[in-house]
Amino acid sequence: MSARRMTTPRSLSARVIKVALQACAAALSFLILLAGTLTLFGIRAKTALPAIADGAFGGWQYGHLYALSETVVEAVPLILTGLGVLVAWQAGMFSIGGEGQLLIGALSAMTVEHFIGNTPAPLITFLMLVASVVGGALWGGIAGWLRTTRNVQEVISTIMLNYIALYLVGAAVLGPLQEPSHSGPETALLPDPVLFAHILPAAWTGGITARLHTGVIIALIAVPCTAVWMYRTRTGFALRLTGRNADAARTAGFSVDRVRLIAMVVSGALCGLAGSVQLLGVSARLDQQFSPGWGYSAIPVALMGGLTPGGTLVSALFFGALTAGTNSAERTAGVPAVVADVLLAASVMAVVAIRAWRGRAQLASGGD
Amino acid sequence: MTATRGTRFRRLLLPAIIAATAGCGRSNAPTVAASGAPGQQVAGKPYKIALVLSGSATDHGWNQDAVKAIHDVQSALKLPASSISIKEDAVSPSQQQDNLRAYAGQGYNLIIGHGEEYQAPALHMAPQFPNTLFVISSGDKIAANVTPIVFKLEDGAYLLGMLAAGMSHTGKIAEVGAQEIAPVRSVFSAFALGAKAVNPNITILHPVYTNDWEDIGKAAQATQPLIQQGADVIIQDLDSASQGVFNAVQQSSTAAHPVYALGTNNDQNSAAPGVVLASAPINCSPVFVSIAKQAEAGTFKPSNTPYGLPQGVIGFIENPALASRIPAPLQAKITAAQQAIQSGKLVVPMKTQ
Repeated sequence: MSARRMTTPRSLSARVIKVALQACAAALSFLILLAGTLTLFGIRAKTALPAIADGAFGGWQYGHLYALSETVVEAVPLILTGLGVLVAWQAGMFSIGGEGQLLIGALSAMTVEHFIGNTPAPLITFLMLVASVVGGALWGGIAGWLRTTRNVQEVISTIMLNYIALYLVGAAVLGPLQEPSHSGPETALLPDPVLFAHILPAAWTGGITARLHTGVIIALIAVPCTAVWMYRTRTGFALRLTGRNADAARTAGFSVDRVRLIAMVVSGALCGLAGSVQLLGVSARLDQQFSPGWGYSAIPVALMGGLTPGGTLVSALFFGALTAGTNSAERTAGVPAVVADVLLAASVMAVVAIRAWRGRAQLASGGD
Repeated sequence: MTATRGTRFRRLLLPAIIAATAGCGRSNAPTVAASGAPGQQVAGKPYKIALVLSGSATDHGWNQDAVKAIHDVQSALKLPASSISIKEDAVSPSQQQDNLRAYAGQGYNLIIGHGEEYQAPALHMAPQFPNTLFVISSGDKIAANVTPIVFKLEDGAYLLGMLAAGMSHTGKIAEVGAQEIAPVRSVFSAFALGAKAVNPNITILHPVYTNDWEDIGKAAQATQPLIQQGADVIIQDLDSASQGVFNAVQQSSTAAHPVYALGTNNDQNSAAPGVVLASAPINCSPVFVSIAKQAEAGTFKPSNTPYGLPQGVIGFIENPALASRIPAPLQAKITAAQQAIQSGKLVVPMKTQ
């Protein structure tokens, strides 16, 4: 490996060909994995695969963009929480707390709405977004603070904070934030003017309102923002250095504790933002089942994306497509939607295995 | 470099947030014109029915019964298998909404959201799909094309309460529920009412909620302390997790000091034949079939009339394995009450708030 790095950089076209080949290999192995999983479930891959593709990328029966919109809608919370995870993990903070931070983000947003319900709609929306960022940042910050001042391992503290967040949501939706008729454990629906607008004109989606909402802009812009912050600023450098080698970072004069705290705060802010974006774009109300585990899925999503912002965007879209595809295939072809979860887990194991194998190959060849 | 840190963020993320915020507010106008009554069969098109479940289709309870009922609808309306679509495990509000919308968008005539959680999203999107009839199990609100099915499980719970009070040696009975929602609270208050009718001095322990319709372990953990406090007949409204209550009761029950459990939502007598005294099952078939038939013909009118024991939707089934332990005078009282409910002489109240 080290020997290869010494050689002159290869030409652009060679690199493009290499990436294209890798992508083809990945797509092919994924298809084999998918077909294998479906066969294990006793489903005919020949009918199920087109149904999944149809649900993810479009279909004649809905009009062209409806399915694609579902893919992006499913990807939005994964993009934001995935970014949150990668920020923490790049700093060497193995945070499992995305789920709790997301819930606290949504809860903070809902609480703000509860108190300022009669201000103009765009202002409510804006303040809800701000509240979720602050709430998520605080929740992430607690774990960061515990680590830096009390040396409590963030793996443990974030998991526990997830439960506290979940039960806080439970208490809120059965207490102060419960809907007016007090019959269900949920908040009232947010009024339409507060919610994010649906972007796609009905003419493009076969006459049905597709769920793609303006919140997707936030998710898409958060990707380059995170990239710039991580790779073009001093803090970003300190963050990555701390993750690689905390001693080196300390020697270089960075306050490792401060960097770790910042990483957890930013990670929490991004996950919290995911909560309010989902609330304003899709759910419109909060209950204990608000998240099907986006904060947890974010970890495999970020890992699959190589812990880089661009990679996370791609892998979030990939899992969005898989979720939307299997959801739709359950309706149209009876494919159980849990297939998506099985594939998510299988993909992560494949990534981990490939990394371990590469690491061993590098050791054997005396590289790195 | 330091200077760019903040400004880049402001240059990128903040405008995005403002752009998204400025683009907020959405319309809810119908996208298709209404033609005929909601849920009515359109000539020349296949009649399509969808069932959306928040849990597993094989839960031996609430959801499984709906699956059985939808197949009864299929045979009653003589529909091909491709006319029926079932979506299970729509756990989050986002998935529930997506499924209702996707089915409606695909032109399904009748969409059954099997649980109160589908009511708010259905009421919200219904104006966009005037030709689709949304049926909300356990709902309570009516719109032009949204109808609730009010299951009066209270009828069965009242009889279970009578049985519990009559069979308790300690004079203490208990209730374990999954979520503290109106339908569950209402069932428990009917249970208490039935118990007091047999024994006015009966102690009903404060209801315990596990916040989980599927976790058997949590249900067992919630039950054990109740037994330790002396409760010896326990009703549950837990769906898949009810087996946890049965397991805990089975472990504590001895010949000298028997502890019993009661089944709800489904005939659960065989789930733990040694301890389940009786069950109050919900039978969705008569309601689903009746609504689907009327909707197909275009004669259905949304209504919130409850379906209970008199309509055959709620049942009361004693466990034959334990029937011999029920004293004859108690049995006579229960049978009399059952007949009174059946004939409309006794109306068990529902607490909807």
